[in-house]
Amino acid sequence: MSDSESGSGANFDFTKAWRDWIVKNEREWSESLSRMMKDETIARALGQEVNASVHRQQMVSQAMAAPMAAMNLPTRDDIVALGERVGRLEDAVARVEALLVQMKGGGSPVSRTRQPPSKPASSS
Amino acid sequence: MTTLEELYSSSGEDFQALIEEMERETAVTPKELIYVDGTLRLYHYLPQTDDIYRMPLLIVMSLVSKPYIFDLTPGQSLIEHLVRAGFDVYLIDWGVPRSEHKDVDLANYVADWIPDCIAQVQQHSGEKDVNLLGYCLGGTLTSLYAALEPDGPVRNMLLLATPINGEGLSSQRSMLTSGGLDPDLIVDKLGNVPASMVEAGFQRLRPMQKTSGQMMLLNNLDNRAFLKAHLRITRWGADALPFAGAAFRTFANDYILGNKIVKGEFELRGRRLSLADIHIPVLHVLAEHDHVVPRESSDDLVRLISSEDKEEWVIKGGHVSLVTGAGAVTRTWPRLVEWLQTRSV
Repeated sequence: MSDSESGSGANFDFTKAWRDWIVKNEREWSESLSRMMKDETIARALGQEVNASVHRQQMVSQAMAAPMAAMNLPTRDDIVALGERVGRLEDAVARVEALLVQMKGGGSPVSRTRQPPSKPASSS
Repeated sequence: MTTLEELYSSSGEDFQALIEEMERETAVTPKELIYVDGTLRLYHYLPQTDDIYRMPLLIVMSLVSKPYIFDLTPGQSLIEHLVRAGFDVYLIDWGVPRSEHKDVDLANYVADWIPDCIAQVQQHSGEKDVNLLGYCLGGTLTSLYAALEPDGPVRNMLLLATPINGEGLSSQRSMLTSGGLDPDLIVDKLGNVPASMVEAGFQRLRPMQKTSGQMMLLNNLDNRAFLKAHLRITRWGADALPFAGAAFRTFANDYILGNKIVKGEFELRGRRLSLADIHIPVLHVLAEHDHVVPRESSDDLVRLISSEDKEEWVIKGGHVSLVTGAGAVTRTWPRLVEWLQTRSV
């Protein structure tokens, strides 16, 4: 919908205009926020929050391990371990696939004589 | 129709169908898997022309992003474009590091896996000369490899948005220099840096972009083509990969804090690497409004290498505009093809 349509009388959609305004100004706002986050105090606070979240995550994981086991539910670590096991299986299947491709016959049968369009065709 | 009506009329099933349709259309350029080492996959894209250029082209992807951005969808795929232009294209997909990969360092990528993949490409193609294309951190790895093996098989290097100056990555650097973020603590406690943390790091570089993207989506609910194009990019942006622990430690300490690549002090297994040792032709393409790899972090590359045939080209747009989007298809890719054509025979 064009600007003229979105702004015409009864059909005017205020929320759409508001969203358009956000989209138009996003770059400037993002740049301002990024500049702000480069300030040493703010950057330190953000960094420390990341560090703290790492500790928090570990503490919660350890604290939840026993209750989750008691409830017969998997923890995040269990799910991650399962995902990694699937990853190792995928690697094994990929190795078989690559071997099959190799057995089928390696190398490209296409001739490697292509020349750039600007060069005379007589060279090929 | 008001926005709320639009929202209600767009049912969850429709949206799910759209996502599934997008997934079916992603990474569909025909390829075969020719080499696997742990999580690493080396793919060969099947030629689609009667003849191909002599030198194969090996694409090296970033460590923290998935490579399907190179093969997003037919018509928006750099790989499809290159294959149709007659190039013999290979791609390294580093895969998703797991807990057992926490000790994988940048040295493994640069001194072990890139040479392994080049050897595989040489064997598969039957050619000893290889061209490299590196994107983002993949470009950094590619440059380090070229500095490590200046007399190796690489004949030309095409780099896209390649950061080498740690001081230029000012957002990331400010968190480290302020005494806030502790990379050693993260690696010691978590092993690898989780994908969620990597994605949050990207978001911090342009904090309002996600909100703005959601607003844009709401305003274009009736435009299916727009929705798909927009969702493809945002989905890729949110699909970050974990950063292998030791590699992140080196990246944070040596590259960002120490700025050792630019200073010529970056060491790999006891060997000091200097970009001045690179003598092969290089084209470095940057984006004017790249918030992920700002120009201050990538501008020095062409200055520091010793190649006589070297060029820096700045395009309009952002980080992703280099590898996808209307501008990439009509302006950037034809120029890349033109540069590569004469250097691939």
